[in-house]
Amino acid sequence: MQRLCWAAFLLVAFPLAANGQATDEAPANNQPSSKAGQGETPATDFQNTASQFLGKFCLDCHGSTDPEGDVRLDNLDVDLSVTETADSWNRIFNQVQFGEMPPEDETQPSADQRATFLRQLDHELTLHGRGFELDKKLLLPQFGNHIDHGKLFDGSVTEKPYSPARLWRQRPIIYDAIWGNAYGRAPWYSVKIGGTGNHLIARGPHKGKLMATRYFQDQKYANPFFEFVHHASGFTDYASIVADQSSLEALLVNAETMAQILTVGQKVRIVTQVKNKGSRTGNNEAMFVGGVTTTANEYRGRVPVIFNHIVKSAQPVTRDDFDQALDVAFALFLRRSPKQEEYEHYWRNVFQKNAELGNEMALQAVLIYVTLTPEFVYRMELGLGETDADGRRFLSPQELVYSLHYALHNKPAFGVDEIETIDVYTKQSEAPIQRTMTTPRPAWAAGHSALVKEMLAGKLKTREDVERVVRQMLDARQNGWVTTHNRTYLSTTNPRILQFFREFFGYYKADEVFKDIDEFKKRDGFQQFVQGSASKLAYDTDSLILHILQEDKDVLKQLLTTNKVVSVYWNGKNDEQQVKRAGGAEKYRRTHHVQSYNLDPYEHAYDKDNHSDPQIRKNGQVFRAPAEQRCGILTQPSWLIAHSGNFDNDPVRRGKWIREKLLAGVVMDLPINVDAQIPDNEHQTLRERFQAVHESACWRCHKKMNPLGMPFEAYNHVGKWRATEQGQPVDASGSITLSHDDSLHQDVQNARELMETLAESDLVRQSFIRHVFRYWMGRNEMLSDSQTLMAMDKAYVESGGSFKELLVALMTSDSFLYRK
Amino acid sequence: MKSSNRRNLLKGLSLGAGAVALSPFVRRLDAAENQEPPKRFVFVVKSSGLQGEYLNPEGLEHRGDKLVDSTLAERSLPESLKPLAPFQDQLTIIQGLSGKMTRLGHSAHYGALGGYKASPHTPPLAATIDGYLSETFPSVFNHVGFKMSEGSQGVTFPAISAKGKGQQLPFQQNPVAAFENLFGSILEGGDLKKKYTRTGNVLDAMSSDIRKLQQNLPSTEQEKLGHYLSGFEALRDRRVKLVSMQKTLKEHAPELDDKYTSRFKTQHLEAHFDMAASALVTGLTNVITIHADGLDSVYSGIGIGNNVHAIGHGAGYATLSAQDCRNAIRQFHVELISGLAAKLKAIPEGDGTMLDNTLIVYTSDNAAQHHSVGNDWPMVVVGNLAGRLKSQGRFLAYPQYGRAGHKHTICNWFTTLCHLAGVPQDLFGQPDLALGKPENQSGPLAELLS
Repeated sequence: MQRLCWAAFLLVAFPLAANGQATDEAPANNQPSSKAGQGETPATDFQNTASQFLGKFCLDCHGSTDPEGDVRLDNLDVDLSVTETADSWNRIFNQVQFGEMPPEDETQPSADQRATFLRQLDHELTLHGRGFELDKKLLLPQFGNHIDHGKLFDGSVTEKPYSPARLWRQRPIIYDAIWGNAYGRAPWYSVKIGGTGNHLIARGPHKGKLMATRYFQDQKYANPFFEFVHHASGFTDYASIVADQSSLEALLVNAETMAQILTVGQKVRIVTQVKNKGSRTGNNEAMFVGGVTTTANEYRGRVPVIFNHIVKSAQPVTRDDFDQALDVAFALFLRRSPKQEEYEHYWRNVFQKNAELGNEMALQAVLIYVTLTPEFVYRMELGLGETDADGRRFLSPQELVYSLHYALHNKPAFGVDEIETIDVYTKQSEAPIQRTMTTPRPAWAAGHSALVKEMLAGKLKTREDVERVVRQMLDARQNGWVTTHNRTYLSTTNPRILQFFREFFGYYKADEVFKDIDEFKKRDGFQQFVQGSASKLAYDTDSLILHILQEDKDVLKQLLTTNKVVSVYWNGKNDEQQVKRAGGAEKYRRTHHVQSYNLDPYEHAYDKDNHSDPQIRKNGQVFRAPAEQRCGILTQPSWLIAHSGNFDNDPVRRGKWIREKLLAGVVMDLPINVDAQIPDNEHQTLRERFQAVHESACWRCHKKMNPLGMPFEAYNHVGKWRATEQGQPVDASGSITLSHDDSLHQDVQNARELMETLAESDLVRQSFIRHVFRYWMGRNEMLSDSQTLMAMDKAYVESGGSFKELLVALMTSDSFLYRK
Repeated sequence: MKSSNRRNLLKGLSLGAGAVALSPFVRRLDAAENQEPPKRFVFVVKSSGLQGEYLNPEGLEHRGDKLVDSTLAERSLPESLKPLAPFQDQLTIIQGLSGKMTRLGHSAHYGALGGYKASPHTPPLAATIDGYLSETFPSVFNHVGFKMSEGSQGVTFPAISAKGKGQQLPFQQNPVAAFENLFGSILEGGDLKKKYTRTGNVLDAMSSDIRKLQQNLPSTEQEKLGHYLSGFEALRDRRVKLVSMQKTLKEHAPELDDKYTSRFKTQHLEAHFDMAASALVTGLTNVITIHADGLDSVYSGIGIGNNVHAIGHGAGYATLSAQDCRNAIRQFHVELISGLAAKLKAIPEGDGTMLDNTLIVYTSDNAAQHHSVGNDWPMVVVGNLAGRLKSQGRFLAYPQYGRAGHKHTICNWFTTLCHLAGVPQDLFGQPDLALGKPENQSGPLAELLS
């Protein structure tokens, strides 16, 4: 066993103040078991770095005499093949990485010292299969904040930015846009004869009877690329997400269905119910009782003519026909023309290999193959444009179309050029059936995005081109700022922008936190919160953000401090019927949605529909809440609920959110052996109950979260502001500590003080910009992105806080445009 | 056939072409024999509610204030459970579990097996119990889903099973297609065989293509594509395994008879049960979910011409009242379950039979009524996992929802299943907040653990 007696080792080989490099000289040692001490093994780089680091920053407290917390590091083993030893070093790694140790009142290592120590320790652990592979991990969403914040913005990094050449897994929502309507439906068709209906049957056995039809086509398919949200990043679309066997199995099931739909048509179950004496029908098929029911399967849909030709032909397929079919298959799924070698490959290795199974099967094999190809599963961002002097490659025009379009939209960038198609349903049938079973337009039909037109015109090649089209896209008219369940963020002009704010703040998850709604009916301050309230509150916040983005001034500051609130489901009127239904004016007042914002529906009544201001007619009123009650998105009920528990507020999660999202900080995950319960006591405030964590080892982590989250105790756990709690005035005090910026550190009396301090901070602005970068780049920032981040920061500040300018700076940056 | 015979048979086979691919499978059997056999779970889920009042043995009642705990020995089973009389010493009837944390109505969807609010239009929030167990006991097919349906479109997603957040599990409606998927390797000729071959060809060609592409990518991206490639390899391995298992499969595969193409969907359900038995016996899978019907299903094969929804709304058929129809449907399911149990009991395994290592759970995706509020969610369980489930014929009725003693939810039952499976969980699904703090309603149903 190798054992270093650090204290003795350090005293001789490296006086504590020394900055000298390691030597091979063997240290003195008083531990007989230590080989290193006996000079048999020269100290490695790791041992040298570790001994210096521990000696300088740890051994004062964790030495041989009365070690703190009974943790002794002076006689630590270095043989990392031993599990216990590796575990000890892993714990040290975590403590140092998360800044838990050395304690804040002790001498701190510089960022470089910390990084060097961690890198070498990780390397050593990795050699023994126990490491973190730090370089790789730094690219994962949960490690986003682990890079040195200061270095990203101090201008010391002059490397030219780029993104690594990469594959980016298909976004689930884009797969859905390509697949859901066209190949993901399970249709059935209800035909009722003999009851009521608006079609008179003109011939056949049912002549003279009325016919009613209804076509159902629910989507029933599994998206192979299920959405992944990492709890730390909160972002749903990171390029590090992979497609694996689960994706493949779902892709395969879907592909087999699609291959059938495109070659022989979509199978439709037609249920015909003929009413007779004594039978009854309801308004849906399931209520039909008696009579005669028959079920038949027919095929529906438009298939490409060339596919139909191949399937129907009894002859071997000619190469010419095959090439045409491949053109169509590529147009449908890869949205490009095949290359010469691809014609050859598909002909030889896919079609011909299956030719003996018959034309239909062979063609289906080709279609299945196309939708399993890596190109369909992963968007390739390799940098196929010109290479510059630094070896960086510009994105090709086609890659630019994808990158720019997907940055702002959730729909495919490329449409499908017109393909000659034919109806597969050719029967003569009653007019309504004929109408439903035939279709003028195939379900896959889709136009190209505007960017494709630019590309085809040769106007999407340079950085200037990119800036021009990005500005056009960002300037596209937004029709009002209201979102509701009928008009969600997906219907906004550039849906990925609001989606960023949803994912960054996380308020959209408010309806995932279950609340005991039945109990609220009896409880003051909670009666406005009913089934569906959480979703409505999230739409309110969506709308408020869109409203702030529309003004595009001091966006972040507005988001963090505004006292504006909106209530998009209220038209400002207090309808008599609703008052009556609520059980009288008083109950109506207490239970009204705007009570979530502590507003009184009678005091704030207005007439949206007939208002003189066209903006209000369109979007509704923007209310101003008292400044002490509402201060930005973090005081929106939706955010507070999304970051609350079932029965209580959650100052820990709220504080963690601020630490990670606004202060670019890190908090260690909850150790697995910790039972994170705070004591129940209905006579105490939550703050009092949380006092328990101040007293114990818990505080080492909790001090990073609780003081930031406590100011939101001014709200109950469904987000309503309150002046008192347990009969006493609410204590909403908190503090900002332990951030990268000492000047921020102060006590605050309430949420407004907290948020206004944060809103003025460079660190907070930069932390926000880092998250913008991550979301749009689909990766964590690297040190080499420093120039991009600084340019974004500059553009934002110089434009007076314009989010558009921030995005232009990012999307025209080297990080965005170059691959290496 | 004794389990050692099964193993020897497969070992003999492994000397042939599929030796490499088969060896893990043999190892699994070895492990099964030397340590303990795999645990198997079958969930039979009906729609329109499983009416608790028709599950009580003579002299026993549910919906009381106190726990009713009684042996089934010497008790006469209710009419609809009579077909399970041969398994009375391995039968457990659980009443009084609530499931109000789900979103009920016509169906709780993923909630029925997941214990959380779900809708058919949004991806599942988390794994359901069958999906979770299927990932715990992987096999050639981790999970097999069957659904009786009026449609014959093939694969469907009835929104009742998920193996994780956002990961729906597919169900095969069409018995012929299900046969192709499970037993396609033993087909000789015909359209099914063609489809099977076509997909195999595609998988083969694609994996070699991916390998070529990988070489031209940076190393991190090679790794990313590696995950996808290993998916192809796993599917290819599965096909090779299936080929290697041909002899076993031929011996135990059901006969592809008229049931598979019958115009009566009830016969499709019979075929599904046949395939379920074969899939378990051959070791193709350890976890099966049979979604026995949907609201639009018509049981004309057993003389009921109305669909399940109409019956749920009180419509009778011919001389049968709606309740007669419901009883007949329930009894039909129970007969099929009994048939499955009998097949498993006929095959020795370890010191007992395959049934000793299998749990069959019969329940509904909509608690106890056609329109349900989730106060009551009956479970009928056949098998006791070699005594791990503390039941040698037992009736357990927990206190009624709303009474002081009630804190027992379907989630507690799911955690019980996790404990029985040897992968203990304290929480599964969401708590019912009206029953108090989540921590007070966690853990398994202690009465049922040995």
